[in-house]
Amino acid sequence: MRRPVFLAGRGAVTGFGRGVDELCDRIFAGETALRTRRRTADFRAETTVCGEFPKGTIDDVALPERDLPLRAALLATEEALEEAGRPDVASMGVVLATTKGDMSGICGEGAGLGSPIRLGALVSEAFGFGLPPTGLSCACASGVVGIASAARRIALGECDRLVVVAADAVNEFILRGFGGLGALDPGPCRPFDADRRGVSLGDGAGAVVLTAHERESIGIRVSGYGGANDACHVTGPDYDGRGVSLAARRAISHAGLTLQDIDALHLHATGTRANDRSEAIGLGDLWAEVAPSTPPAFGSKGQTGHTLGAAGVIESLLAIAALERSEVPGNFGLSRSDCDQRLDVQGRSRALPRSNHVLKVASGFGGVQGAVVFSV
Amino acid sequence: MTLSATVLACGVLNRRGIFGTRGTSVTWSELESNPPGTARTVQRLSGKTDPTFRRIDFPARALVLACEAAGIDDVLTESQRNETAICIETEVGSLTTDLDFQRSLRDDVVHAGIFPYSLTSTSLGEVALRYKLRGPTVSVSVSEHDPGESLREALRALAAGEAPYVLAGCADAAREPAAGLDPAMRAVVAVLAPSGDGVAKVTWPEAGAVNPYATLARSCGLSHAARDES
Repeated sequence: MRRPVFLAGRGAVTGFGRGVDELCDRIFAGETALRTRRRTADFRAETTVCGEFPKGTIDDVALPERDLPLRAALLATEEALEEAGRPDVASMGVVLATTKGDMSGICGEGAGLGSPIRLGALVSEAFGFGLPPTGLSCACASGVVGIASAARRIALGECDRLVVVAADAVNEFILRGFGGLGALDPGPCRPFDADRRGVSLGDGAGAVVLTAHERESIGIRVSGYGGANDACHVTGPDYDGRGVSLAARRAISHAGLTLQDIDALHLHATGTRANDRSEAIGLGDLWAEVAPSTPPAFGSKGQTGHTLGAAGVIESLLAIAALERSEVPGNFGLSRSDCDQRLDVQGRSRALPRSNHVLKVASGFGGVQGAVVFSV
Repeated sequence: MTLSATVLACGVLNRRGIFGTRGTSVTWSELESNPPGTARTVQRLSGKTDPTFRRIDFPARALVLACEAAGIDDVLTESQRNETAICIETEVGSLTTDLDFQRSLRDDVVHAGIFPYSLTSTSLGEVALRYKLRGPTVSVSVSEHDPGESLREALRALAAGEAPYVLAGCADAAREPAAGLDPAMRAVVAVLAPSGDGVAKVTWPEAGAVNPYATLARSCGLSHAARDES
């Protein structure tokens, strides 16, 4: 028998600044955190914009870039624990998810050698968590995979509470890596738009406290999760979107739901030609079994930038906000989609006629696909 | 937690050679190669032609050759592989690639082709791609003091019924000493099922257990290989 898993607390630090409310309010108001690069301005890259943490957001003093992921992770965790009512940390642990969150020893003189577990250990030590930390890296699907991993442990009865924190900050390594792949939009990214040219990057950290106890819940359940591998190409998606479709199907089935039960979708929506096209085909094909189009769908990377491993948690917070507000925001930068029209993406915000279940999907290098269903 | 599983197959690559429950037992000198092998190693080990092997990173090479030694194709049908999850842990991750890429930035010659391998999940993607493993995939980061989290994650996935089979394992493969760390060279993979007949049983590794994958390899009769791992 699987125990239900509830969400007890949330935290975020993004290009909009500190706090989940700030993030959600500004996303739903149609604002963007993509601005002319400032902190990363010295790095040569094929883009003028980035969703950097606003100056002063992370700390009153200017931190070295190498310390940003840890500092942002700590702030997001702090906010999530606060909303969760300061649970007993002695019986809690952290699942740290990141793409390249701890590069201090690669890009500078720090001690971080790209190992997520070190970042997890530092977060764990800072809050005094009693359970050993866990670290994982599934590229840009890390956050969603982290939520699934933590929920599984609680569902199996291994522990009662875990905090999932995902963090990444843009640095030269990341900027020039994506630039070298030709994956950056020179300006602000425009997911699903016919003129899209690639991703925009962003700093970010997100945290959620998961619990086995309904009394601690903020009214949201992690009702199902699933994953898949494209097994097709290590950097590009399956053209037909079979991986994202498979992960979504597995998560919905795991939640004990049907396709018709899902009221909204939060997409990976990077703005690359390949990702958006395959995501639209895969999800369009899946919902074609029951409907002419998917439920209302939205992405957020046109507003936050692609926050890499943090995206899965930050965007899960936005998916949950869509349930709470009974609304999906518009897809920022979308004028005319040239993707499979069965994926219901629009440039304007829309009220949801029903808001019980939302599906969040994410993809990462290595063909990794993750999906999670949140329910009220 | 007292979860356990059946081991259907196991493969090991280390500094001595490549060993597996498929019957593979071959040293690097017999292969006339150095770890973690070349495309010719794949050919000699399994008769397969792998035209992209030379382009993939060291951890992926080590994993692929360990998978060949385990004989994944023999123990899992195509439909079973479609449901097989991947759970692999690493201590140093993509450190060699990270340093190579960072060096290329410093020299202002960006090696874009290696950048994807700075993400540990890319190495797992190379395995998924070759064996058409389409289950959930996770790259777990562990410290040298507490290995085995990928084995726990695999046992959880099986116990929860989220995957009928899991390819669990560990991989650390560096070309040269880096950042004060010894160059690791090992990969262990095991195909796990919730129950049934297999070559061994595996149980929940307790926190602080010394190298659970060496214990697993030994239980599969790969003592010769595991000696290098302990």
